[in-house]
Amino acid sequence: MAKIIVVTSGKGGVGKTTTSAAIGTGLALKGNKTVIIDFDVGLRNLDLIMGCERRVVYDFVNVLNNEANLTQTLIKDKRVENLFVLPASQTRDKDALTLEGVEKVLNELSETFDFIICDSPAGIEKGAQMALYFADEAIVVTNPEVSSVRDSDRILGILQSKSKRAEQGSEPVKEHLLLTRYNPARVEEGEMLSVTDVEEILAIPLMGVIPESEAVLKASNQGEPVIHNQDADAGKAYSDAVDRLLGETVEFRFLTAPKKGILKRLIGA
Amino acid sequence: MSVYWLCFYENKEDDRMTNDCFRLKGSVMTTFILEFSDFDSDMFKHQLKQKVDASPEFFQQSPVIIDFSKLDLQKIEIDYLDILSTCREHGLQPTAFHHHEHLDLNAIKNTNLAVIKPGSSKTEKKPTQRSLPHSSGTQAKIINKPVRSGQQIYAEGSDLIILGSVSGGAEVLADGNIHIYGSLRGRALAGVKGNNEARIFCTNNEAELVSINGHFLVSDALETQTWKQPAQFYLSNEALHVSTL
Repeated sequence: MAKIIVVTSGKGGVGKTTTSAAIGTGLALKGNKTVIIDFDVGLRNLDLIMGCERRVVYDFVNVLNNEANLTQTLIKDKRVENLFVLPASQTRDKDALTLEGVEKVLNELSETFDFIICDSPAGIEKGAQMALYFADEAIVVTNPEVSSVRDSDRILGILQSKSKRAEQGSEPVKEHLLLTRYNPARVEEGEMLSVTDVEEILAIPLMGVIPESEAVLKASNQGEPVIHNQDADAGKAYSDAVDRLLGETVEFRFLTAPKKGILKRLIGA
Repeated sequence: MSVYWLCFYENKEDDRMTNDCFRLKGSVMTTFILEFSDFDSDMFKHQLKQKVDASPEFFQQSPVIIDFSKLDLQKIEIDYLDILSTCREHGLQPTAFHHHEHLDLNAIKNTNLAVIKPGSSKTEKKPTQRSLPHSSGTQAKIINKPVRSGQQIYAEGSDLIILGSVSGGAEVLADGNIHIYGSLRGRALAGVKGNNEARIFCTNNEAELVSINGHFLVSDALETQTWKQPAQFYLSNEALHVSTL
């Protein structure tokens, strides 16, 4: 029985797809058979971040409409064993998704996979609700910025009221907070919300803090999930987050700005 | 003495839901009740004159409800119109008759006044009612988790207790008091069905808006006092007040 994890945020552009790719890859690197599903029907992005856009033949909507089976549609990752991508359709919209159809696909994937990562579209409408409906756990991606925090709060409300677990009154969806684009120097300047501020407002357990990093943009453009770059702080921070998701206790890194040396201060770097 | 009263209210607050130019709401107001313990037309005229002459300003244009509940109307003949004109002569404004089993409804009709049936507050006040006037014995609604942005929680006919924070963009409402054991960052509206005695308590005040029975303050006005401190909100002299806890 696979564990279904939705990566969601409410607000767009905070790093959901980057996170789905990194966390999915990280779980597979740890030996878990993992599939990442792109729920952003109409705005296909995950395949680009995963670097498999040239190998998309069939998509999620084809599977829902019985036009292709899962074996034909799933794209196997070239770098990591046990990692698969189920791409979204570029030519359809969110109305192509139905709860019955999504449930059928998830049930079929559940038989063979350990983890199913659902990469949610932005917003709180149908697409986002479809992505989170069947979730066992949720990774709420938030930037340290007031509008992102409020939208995350909103999506947490929806998780608690409109998910399958909420509707059936079973054990609630397990929530994880993942703070991305965190810049400790700007937090110290008071320009950015701190980890403590965000934790206080959202009141859910912190799963990871990903520092703002040029490596993330570079990784996206190259189609290689940033977790592969273990020289970058962002890559290391995602690895820590995966460990925490798997239940390990890992100390938080990259929460404070590196101290500037005298020379750097003098030249104003 | 208090009676329940239906009245037309102007829109004091944002009524986003409707475009109505008025709303009907229940309210508790103070009014005089003219309670007869015996009836004799001449004696009544004489005694009322004495009362009003003692403090004429006080009674000017006061609404009054006429109550015969202590009389046995089957045995006593009453001239309703005569009572009304006596009241008006002395500056009182009879507005209604208190309900009585044996009121002569035909005679009442000619007076164009209403017959009202006040709630239990009329006669004997039980001490327990006095100490808990607004919880009225109903169980408070208790919420065990944070109230998230976009959520709305309403405690109908009772107090609302929240063990957690109320996020920005969330709204909590109650007919009674609201207790928040956490930060209030959203909107809290207490006494929404016309309860001036309702209060709001929170352990950290960062509210967007607080309102008690339609009297409200927004965060611009709140930020000056008790901001980010434990606070309570209450009505006094028709104005909403904030104080630290």
